[in-house]
Amino acid sequence: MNQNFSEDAYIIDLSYATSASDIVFELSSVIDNERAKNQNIALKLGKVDLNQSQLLSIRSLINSINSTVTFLETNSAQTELAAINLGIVVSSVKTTEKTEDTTNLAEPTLVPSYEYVKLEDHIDENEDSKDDESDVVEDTDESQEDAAESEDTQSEVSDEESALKEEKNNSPIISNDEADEIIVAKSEDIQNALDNIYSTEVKLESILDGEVSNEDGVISAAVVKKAVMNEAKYTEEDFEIDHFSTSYVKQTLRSGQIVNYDGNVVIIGDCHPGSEVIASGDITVWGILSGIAHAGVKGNERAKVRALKMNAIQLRIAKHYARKPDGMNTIFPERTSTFTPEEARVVDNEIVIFKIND
Amino acid sequence: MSGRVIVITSGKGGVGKTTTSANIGTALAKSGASVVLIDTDIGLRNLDLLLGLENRIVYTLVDVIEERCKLKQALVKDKRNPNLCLLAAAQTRDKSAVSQDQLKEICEELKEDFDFVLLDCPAGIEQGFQNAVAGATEAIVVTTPEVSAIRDADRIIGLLQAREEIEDYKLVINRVRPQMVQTNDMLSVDDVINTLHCDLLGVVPDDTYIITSTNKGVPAVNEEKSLAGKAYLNIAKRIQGEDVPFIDLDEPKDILGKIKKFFKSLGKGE
Repeated sequence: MNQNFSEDAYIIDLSYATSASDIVFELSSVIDNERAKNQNIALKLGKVDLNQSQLLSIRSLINSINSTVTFLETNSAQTELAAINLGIVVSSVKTTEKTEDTTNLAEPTLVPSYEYVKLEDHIDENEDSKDDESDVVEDTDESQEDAAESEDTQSEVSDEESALKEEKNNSPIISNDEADEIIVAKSEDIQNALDNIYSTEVKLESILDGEVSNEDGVISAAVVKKAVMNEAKYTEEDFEIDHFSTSYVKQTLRSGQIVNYDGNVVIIGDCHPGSEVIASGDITVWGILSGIAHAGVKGNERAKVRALKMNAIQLRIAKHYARKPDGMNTIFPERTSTFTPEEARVVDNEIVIFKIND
Repeated sequence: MSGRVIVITSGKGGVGKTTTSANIGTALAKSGASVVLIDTDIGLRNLDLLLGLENRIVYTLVDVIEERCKLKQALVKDKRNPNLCLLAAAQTRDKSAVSQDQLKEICEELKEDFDFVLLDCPAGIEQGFQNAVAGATEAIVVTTPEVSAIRDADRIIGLLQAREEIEDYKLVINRVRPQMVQTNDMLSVDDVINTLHCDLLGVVPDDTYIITSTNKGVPAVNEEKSLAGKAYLNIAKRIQGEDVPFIDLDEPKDILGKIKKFFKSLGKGE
């Protein structure tokens, strides 16, 4: 029906689903189906509005069965925008003619080789300047002007920031599902929708863990992706963080120890459970982060937490709060020499953890 | 409503105060009573781990005392039992962050809303112990059938008697190994009571499940198979005034042992 449905794509029709939790429920039953594994998936969603973090969760769910979302059809403008931001080829049902250009943004593992080259070209340009990035987004869908909004501050983008930006991939979201006693400004609806996603996330995490331990190459190859995201728009808050002073802590933080600094903090060592790192800017842990990290403590929502291995019992960024899912505390701490560098940041009022590839 | 404030203490470390607190708290909450557990071991908190609530703690006892948050905000609801709440200790501070009067005030406030306020006391007889005992009107002394633990328990009972506000104190003997008692390698329950001259609240057998439950963050009372869990459930019933017989720890588990015991009893009868 549509030229963007590649021939070998496995179509999952969820257009009848009415909520994010419906979608996740249906998807989790699809996961058990052998035919859906190792496939390019074409997702048909209905009118459901999904934000970027929800879409990320859905994508990581599909990634867990070695399949990839190559195409998405939706009626919702919000979902469409989120998908474009994630680099998924998207077609809104109303404006199918606009999908032609989006093939450029298809994911490298799936598109034919000549398109893969094209994508790399785009990435190279993006590294030079952020303005190119917004152009790319503009190409994908002209109706989404928000996405292509260009900013004056973009010229000040640092190389580091832009290099980080492309090489992100989602990993299971840690969200705050039943924090009755805790005051965190949260919208009830997002909360409910994510609760369901969340339960599958935990499952997914365990699947991932299991497979990684069996055969290291498999999952990492499936997970490695390059998506052009406009999330990394350079704002004044980013500028503020980039110009904070930075404190280096060259020791392992043990239980009960606190690092509290007005600026960025870099820990060269592990942060054991029970330790706390509090900073008004970014927190970077060159080691395993297992304690509590609170970045942007003075309210800067662009602050990020990075670690070679993200195992934090709680993550806080500005007023946002996320905790490690229950049932993930294994009796014996996972001992592994393979680190999976990850970065946590706020996306749509949720703390989302992204993999930093390579 | 005015609830009961009970401190769980031992003097010696490592005898199972925190395990006892977590299990009695969960058992009381299971029976329908509203319970709040307060970890007073500031700087060395463990109670949150045993309940599996570590990832939910945002505010702690010290935050409440230093008025960074309201008392209600610091109470963490248990994920399994809505009747149970935890007020965690701060990990990054020490015992001097809290004074006796402040803890007493918090206990008075919590007493209005909860049926039971259980205080998990730190080891030792220094400020941490003094703080924890200050708010309580009842005490549970935990000991193991070892000479050192009994000596420390004796010291604690002396200190509790000296305090006017403690109306009642009872003894829980933890980690009893019936087989060792039978071979006279371990002090029996009677020996302990004869040494301490104290009312017995319960006897908890040594149970490997306690170790797994600690690591999992699920108190043993949630596991039906656990003999220790059963003992804690009985203790909770006794705290609520029920008359529950003590578990027969000599009861062998396997069939062969049961047959042996049967013949033994026949032999005694003759």
